[in-house]
Amino acid sequence: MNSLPLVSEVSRAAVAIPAARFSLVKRSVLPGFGISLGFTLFYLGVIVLIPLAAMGVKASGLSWEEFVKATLSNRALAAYRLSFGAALLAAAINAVFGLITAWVLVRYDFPFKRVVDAMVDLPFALPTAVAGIALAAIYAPNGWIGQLAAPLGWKIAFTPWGVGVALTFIGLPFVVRTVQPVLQDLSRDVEEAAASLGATRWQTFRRVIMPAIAPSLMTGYALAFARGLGEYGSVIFIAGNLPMISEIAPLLIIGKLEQYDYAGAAAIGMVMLAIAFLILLGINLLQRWARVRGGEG
Amino acid sequence: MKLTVIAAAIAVPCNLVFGLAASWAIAKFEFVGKNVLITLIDLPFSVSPVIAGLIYVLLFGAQGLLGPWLSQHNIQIVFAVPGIVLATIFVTFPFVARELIPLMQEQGTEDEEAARSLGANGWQTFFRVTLPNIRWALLYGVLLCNARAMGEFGAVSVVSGHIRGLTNTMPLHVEILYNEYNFVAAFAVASVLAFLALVTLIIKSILEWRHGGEISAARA
Amino acid sequence: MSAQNRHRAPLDESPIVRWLLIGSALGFLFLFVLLPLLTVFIEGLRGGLAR
Repeated sequence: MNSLPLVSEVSRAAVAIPAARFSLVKRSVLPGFGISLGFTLFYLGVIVLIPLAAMGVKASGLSWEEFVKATLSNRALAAYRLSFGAALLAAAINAVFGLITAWVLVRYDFPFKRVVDAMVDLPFALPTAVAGIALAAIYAPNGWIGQLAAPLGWKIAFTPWGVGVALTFIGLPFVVRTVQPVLQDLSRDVEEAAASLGATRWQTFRRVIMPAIAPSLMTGYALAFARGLGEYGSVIFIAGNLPMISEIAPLLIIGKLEQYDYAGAAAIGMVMLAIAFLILLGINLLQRWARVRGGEG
Repeated sequence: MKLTVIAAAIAVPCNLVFGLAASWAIAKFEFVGKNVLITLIDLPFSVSPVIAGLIYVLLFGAQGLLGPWLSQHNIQIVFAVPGIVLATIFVTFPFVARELIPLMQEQGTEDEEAARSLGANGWQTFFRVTLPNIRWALLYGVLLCNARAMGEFGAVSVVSGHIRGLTNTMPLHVEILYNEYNFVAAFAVASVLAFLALVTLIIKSILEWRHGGEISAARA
Repeated sequence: MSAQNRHRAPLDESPIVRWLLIGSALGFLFLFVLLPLLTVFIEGLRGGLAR
């Protein structure tokens, strides 16, 4: 739920303590290191690492030409384009409105504020299939919002726009929950100083507040984007799933599996995994940048 | 319906034990490679649920790496209950661990060291000192883990094979009913799931208001 | 402090901006969170509570 700051951030500080002697493990009076680490590694291996490796093995059974054919076919390229485009758009919408929501929740008072705050996490708690059918019902041509858009000649459900709507829903909590704590901890002294020097409120926001929250805003954006790329459950009901038009990348894998093309499915899986890794790396770098920033302020 | 409960009832305790073991090793000891380990624990969150299902099909499916061996011994994992349980464990893998690790790192090892010097053995130290210190964060992690376990769709959909009555969880049932144009029934099942989500949100909010200090360590 | 106040350098947004921000945040959440939730319950209960 709060997939916000990666756990790795907090631990890095602890690891930075120089080891007293040269050893892989620092001695401790507490028991249970061997068994707890052993179990952790065993479980991690069985559940996560070995199955992921199996996908690599399966994909490596393909020749280079076959791999390219599976992952770079026109249909696959169209799906990547849609997934990237919709995820970028949805994350951008969430960056704007997530920032406003976080700001409002931290700085202002209004009725039912706690309820609103709790509501932000609903996309995490609601099963994606439930969200999917609900969004499809709302944005279908005879749905509450679809009805309003239809006379304007704008179809949302069963088009690429529907994918964007679903991904906006799914990524909504990320930006709010990464920006909110940073905004909360922001000292108002700097703002007072800026104001007393004659800055307008907008100048203070742009020059003082924005730089302080920029790393967390970008982290939230990246998290929402990454989630959007892999999302499946909420999208398939509203997307229409037409090949070349409204078929998302995860659906390619399902399609390959249904044709019993396991190696092809593994190949596309490897591509998506590599992209997820790159985004994860980017988020780690962003958080490092945020820490450097925080150290200066 | 029953399968939803079974999957959650196996996945949550498994990840609970894992979360405790991992956070004990990571927070109470210093060792080389800790950051890599933490990144790997977080990995299932960044992997698409479809891939989470796919990897088990590739490993245990008929054409999978272990497929021939499994069918020789008449063991069915994919398109059956064990596969659904495995996929559920995968997608909820980091929930408990990531709540506990930052909190236990913040709390340090002083309490446990004091207990040891007073003569408590390892398990006594854990149950009497560590567990009370982390109970609310633990409950919080279990709550989130359970919500995701009951609601997971993508990963479970891939490994289930859509065998009606045998391998469908509640979220999968929603899809089947919806695709049969039985919208009323689909939304009826969906509203049960939505109600569960609301209950989760309410308990979560109460935990945050009452014990925010302990839980927020994970968000610091 | 008071000497500089003539420059009008407020620490808070004007009420209009404030309500605009609150309004757009609530509008966004209503559209993307509350509406789907309501849809599920309304459509779900339409078939009667029998289940």
